[in-house]
Amino acid sequence: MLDLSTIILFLIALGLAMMAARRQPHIVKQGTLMSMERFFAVLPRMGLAILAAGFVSKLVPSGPIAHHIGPDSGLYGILLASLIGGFIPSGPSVSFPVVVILLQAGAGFPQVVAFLSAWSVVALHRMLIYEIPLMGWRFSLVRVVSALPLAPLSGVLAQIIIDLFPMK
Amino acid sequence: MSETNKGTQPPLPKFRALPKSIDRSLIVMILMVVVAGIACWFVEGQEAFVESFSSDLKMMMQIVPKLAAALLVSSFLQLMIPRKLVAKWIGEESGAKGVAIATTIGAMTPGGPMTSFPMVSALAESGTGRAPLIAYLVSWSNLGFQRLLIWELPLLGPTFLIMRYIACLPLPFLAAWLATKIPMSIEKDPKS
Repeated sequence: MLDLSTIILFLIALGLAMMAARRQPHIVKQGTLMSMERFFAVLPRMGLAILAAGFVSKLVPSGPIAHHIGPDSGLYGILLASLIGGFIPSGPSVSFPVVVILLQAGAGFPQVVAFLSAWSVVALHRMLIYEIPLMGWRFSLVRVVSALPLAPLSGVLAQIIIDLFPMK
Repeated sequence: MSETNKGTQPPLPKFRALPKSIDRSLIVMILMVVVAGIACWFVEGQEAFVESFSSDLKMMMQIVPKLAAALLVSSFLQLMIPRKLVAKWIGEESGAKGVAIATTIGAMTPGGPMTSFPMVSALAESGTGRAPLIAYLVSWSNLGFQRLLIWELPLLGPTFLIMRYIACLPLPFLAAWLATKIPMSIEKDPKS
């Protein structure tokens, strides 16, 4: 149940707690309480997200997904995944389970990387709620235009990395 | 804040033993699960439903310790990194160094848009250029450690995460460079 990455994370947490204990001891208690509060807030969401992703992935026909954004869909798949990702108007509790579904239905890693980049960088909902009111539409426009090539590029880079270091 | 204590100790966050009163997004998710579950049962059959359910439970068992560890790390980091100092670092440097600092700090900024955007807005008002601001936002949203620890690592695993991180590392720099090429003011109300 405890794999290497989890053990490393626990060790990092312990190290941080020890650092905090030396300089700002109140942070140890505060950080632990904060983690517990977040744990109980995130866990039900993650559980539901996994359940929904599991059921939906049984229902989604893998043929079309593997065909359009599968590992062999190349640049076309990367561009398509970028386009779809840019229009996902939600936080990580939806987009990451969607990625799990896509992967189970046969999507390729580079395509999924492009999807995640587009979702995180474009983020329409965040733009409307936070960015335009706080920063103005000019800033938003400049940022979105500079961000447009990023998602496809990250997909292409992911493809290069996978070609160089094949993943199991 | 109406609190009178102006000591160095920030007020402790309120601790709730139970999840926050069920909010709208949670209800939407519950409905999604119910609808998807019923559809799965009727379209794919009982066997597929049970199979999906049990493999999801297994996945949950693996995720719980990961999530706990990830939350500890992200909470400690959030409390230990002084936000004011961070804003000062980004604001003072310019050019490629400024973009590199903004990228690093963006990845380290925890929390949702309600924590990052006020900082970006304050930085913009104090005269920070568009390149570091955009690098910061791209880095925070795409490479941010908190999202990475809480969602990506448990759901997609370390191999995928490392591959994606390497592929996405150049993005903040590219966006910053592109932003400087766009001939348009980013001021909220440019004086014409």
